[in-house]
Amino acid sequence: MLQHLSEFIQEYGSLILFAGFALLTLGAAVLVVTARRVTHACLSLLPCFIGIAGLYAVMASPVMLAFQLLIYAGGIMVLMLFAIFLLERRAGPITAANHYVFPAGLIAGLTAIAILGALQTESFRNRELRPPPLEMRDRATGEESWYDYYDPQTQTAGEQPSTNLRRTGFYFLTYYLLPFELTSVILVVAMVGAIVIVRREKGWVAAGRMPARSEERGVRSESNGTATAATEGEEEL
Amino acid sequence: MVSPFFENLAWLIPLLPLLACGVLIGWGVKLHRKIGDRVALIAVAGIAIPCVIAWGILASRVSQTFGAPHEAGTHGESARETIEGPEPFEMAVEWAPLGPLSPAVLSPVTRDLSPAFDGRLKVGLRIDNLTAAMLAMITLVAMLIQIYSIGYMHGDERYPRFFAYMSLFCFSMLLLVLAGSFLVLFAGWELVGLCSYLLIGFWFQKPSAASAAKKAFIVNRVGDFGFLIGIMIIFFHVPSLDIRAALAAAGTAAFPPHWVAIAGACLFTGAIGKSAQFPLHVWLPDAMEGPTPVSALIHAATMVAAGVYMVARISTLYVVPQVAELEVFAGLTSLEIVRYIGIITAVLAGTIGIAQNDIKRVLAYSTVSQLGFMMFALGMGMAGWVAGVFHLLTHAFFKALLFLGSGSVIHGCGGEQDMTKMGGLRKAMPTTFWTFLMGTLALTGVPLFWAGFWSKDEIMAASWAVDQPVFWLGEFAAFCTALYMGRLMFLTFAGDHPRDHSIHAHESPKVMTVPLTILAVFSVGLGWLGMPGDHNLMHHFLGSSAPQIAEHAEHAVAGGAINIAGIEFEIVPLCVSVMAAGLGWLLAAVIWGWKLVDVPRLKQAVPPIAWAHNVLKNKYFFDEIYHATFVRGTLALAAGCGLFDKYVVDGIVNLVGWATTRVFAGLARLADTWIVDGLVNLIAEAQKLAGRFAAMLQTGRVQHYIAFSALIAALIAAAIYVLGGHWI
Amino acid sequence: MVLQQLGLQHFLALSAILFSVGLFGVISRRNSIAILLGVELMLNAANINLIAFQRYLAPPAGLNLVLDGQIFALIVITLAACEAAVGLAIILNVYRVLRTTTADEVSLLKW
Repeated sequence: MLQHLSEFIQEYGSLILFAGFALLTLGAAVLVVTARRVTHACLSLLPCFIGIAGLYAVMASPVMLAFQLLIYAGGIMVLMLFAIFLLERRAGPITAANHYVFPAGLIAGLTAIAILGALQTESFRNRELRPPPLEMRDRATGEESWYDYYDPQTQTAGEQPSTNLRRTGFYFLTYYLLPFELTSVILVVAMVGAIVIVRREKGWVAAGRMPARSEERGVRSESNGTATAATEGEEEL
Repeated sequence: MVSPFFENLAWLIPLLPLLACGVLIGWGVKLHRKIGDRVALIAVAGIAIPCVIAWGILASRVSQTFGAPHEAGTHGESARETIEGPEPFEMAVEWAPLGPLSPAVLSPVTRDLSPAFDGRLKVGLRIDNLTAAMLAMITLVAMLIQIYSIGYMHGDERYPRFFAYMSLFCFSMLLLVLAGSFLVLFAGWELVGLCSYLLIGFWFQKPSAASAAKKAFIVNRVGDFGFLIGIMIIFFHVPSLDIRAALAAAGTAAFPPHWVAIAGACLFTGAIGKSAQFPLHVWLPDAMEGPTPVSALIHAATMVAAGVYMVARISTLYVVPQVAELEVFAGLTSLEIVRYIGIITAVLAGTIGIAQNDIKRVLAYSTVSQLGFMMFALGMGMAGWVAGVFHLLTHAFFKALLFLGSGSVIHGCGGEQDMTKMGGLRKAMPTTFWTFLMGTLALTGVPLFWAGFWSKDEIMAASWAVDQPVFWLGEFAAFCTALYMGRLMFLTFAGDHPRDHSIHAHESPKVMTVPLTILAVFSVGLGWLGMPGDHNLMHHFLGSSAPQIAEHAEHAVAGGAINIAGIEFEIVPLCVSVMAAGLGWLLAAVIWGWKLVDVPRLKQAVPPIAWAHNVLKNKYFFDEIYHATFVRGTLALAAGCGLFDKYVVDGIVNLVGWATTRVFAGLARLADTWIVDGLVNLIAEAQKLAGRFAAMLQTGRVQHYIAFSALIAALIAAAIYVLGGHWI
Repeated sequence: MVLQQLGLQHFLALSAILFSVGLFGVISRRNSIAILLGVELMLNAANINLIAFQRYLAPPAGLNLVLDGQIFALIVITLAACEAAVGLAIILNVYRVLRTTTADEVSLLKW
């Protein structure tokens, strides 16, 4: 019995892991797009990201697992939550109703079917898609390790870093230096841009409204100092 | 051996003025508003640091020249003698890789004989003794003039812009001097022309200044045309733009002497324009419309000397055909052309200077005349080479001094430039007077103490040895120099009582008089370096840059082309020079100092004097002649072309047009109405429909766009599915 | 197919479904923050694809010698962070000006 179980796990272990994480991911994803409150939808992202991180682990990419949890779950999702809380403070609970459910479902379903169908074409099926075997072993000490692995067949003299993490760093600072630097430039630009967009300026943006009505502008310009000071506290986002 | 510390910094020399120029162009106005006239210190700093470097280089080269043991002096065969100096210092970067030249564009001989052009254009700098001396002179004079300008330009509306242009000029001039290849030389050459144009026309509100700037620019273009052709000839034969390579190749089979002569003559055309030699000298006196510091720096000390410098640098190109006695034009060799153009200019400008009343114009004609001296010194081949360059250096100092002094005078007299309205300024402006006197004594060649005497006397001695008629003409020009400078001094400074504008004359501020003093010191002291004899330092220092063609020496002696340090001290030219200067001063004193001769009455009494005065006052009618021939000729040609265009070309076009209208118009109208209009309208309608459809998609809602693009993506994926993925 | 050993197709299928779910959210949600959530799902689907291709289609010579997919995915994550920051900033500003976070009502760019 135990023997059978062990064999089964050896044979289908990764498939089972995959199925579990996939179910977690998809279930959470459906919640993300259907929850009534935006807060709930946002919180549902968390299990979804955890599931995806698990999938990365199945695909033997510990670096992606770490960054998925760090950046997506720890950074982006929290950022979204902050934004939602800021808005709800002003506008009350925000519902996220769906509309056009049928056409949207139709388009999304069509897309899914089309991609899944494309997966069945010969150019995909004819490939040998087995992953090469892995051996989980720390290269430096030779002990078994869950985060470090290498390929016993191709392991030769230590010319390149062995670990997934080390290799990623190695590639980022050598072959992919330019994309790396460009990405950081984009990141800086995005941060600066975000700050510039939400920055409060004196004038009509600080007033919180477009200068649609001229009499309003007139009033504001007359008593500029007090009006701005009064609105500033009120309009705090 | 001195370490080449300063040489390694040489690239900074032209760069710093350029930097100063950029700063002043970009932020000059703002800074001027904030810190006032101190903004000029940027320009001063931009030339002061190069000045330090340049003097460092000079010191290093002097110690290398005199420190190293070498056969110097007068013993041995003087005909064969060449003076050795330290190796030139070179620095170059590749500028534009052109790729190898197709053999088809090279001359047939070059193709076989000379090393192929490697396809790399290099820009770089090259410093030999001549360059080092020029650098030291230019940076020092330029720095003093920049300092002087701080006071002189005070209150000008475009104060920072003036200094920006001056700095740009310094950059260009230093680039020109440092040039190691004809390419860089030409770039500097044109840039100084541009700066000259900008600065002559600095007060462009004055129509006279604007037109003087244009005149200078256009006249210079005439010369530059020849210059460019000369460079092309050299490149075609050598084929390299490197100056040293060109000089080395001169006279070889690849670059035969008759082509050397033609190239030299073409290059000399450029020098004629830039150094204001006859017949292109007309622009320089007009250039005095610019501010006085400009006249001092550009039109006396440096830029106009660029032509002389260039001829000195390439004088091998003149000496080589001289050795072969090849005629270029009207039975003259190219070296003789240089010599005669120089002497004509010297005499012509010297005589004109006597009859001018504008203080700056007198100095301008004096400059032209002195440039003529330098040119004919170079035109005597190796005999006059050092003398010409020596005169160039001394002249730069004392002529800058004279111009700055005249600027000080003009400044003190409230902008008056007419000498006949001045007088008695000696008391009012003592510093200006004494420094001016030093400059004048140097220029007129008063013996023993003043620099001009030593350099000019060397030219005279060389010409006495090589070409006696030229010697006598040169002495006549020297006499004229003394005459007009004496006249200038007596009219401006002599007398007890100031006249007219001079009543309120006052001494200029310190910032203007201190540079005058420093220049005066150099005007006196520089000549001592060039005293003839065994210890002629100038000869030994500059001699290493002189044309070195030892293998032709035997023939060269006959042609009067060689014998570099071998000018024997001769008593005759010395005495004649002293007499010429003395006579000039004496005559000036008689007429304008002691007023023993009443000039108007003399003119009435002796008509030829009146005529001569008229001719000289009108500068031999050069401007009128040029206007009547070249300017009017060009206009007439243009008018003729206009008429041809109007009647002949237009007539043909109109005839064709008329015929076309009659015959084809009917047919064309039918086709136009139905086919062309129909098509156009159809397209327009189709566009309208498509537009209306596309506008419907443009709802402004982001989700519609996403849905639409997703649908398209899904359709593409479906297409992959249906078609089996083979086509991707 | 299901009981085969785990392979590339599984991951691709999963990512396709995840992508469609995200797309559905993007199209059907009314609130703009919720739309951003859908976009995040779609980006994650793409990342799964990248890692899967790297894992299963890397050159057979060496395991994971080529980390293109992973590098690319990391860059995508970075860009997703940028997108979220700028997107939320825009939404906040839009709310400040128009008093709404509903995407339908922000149609100023209409023809």
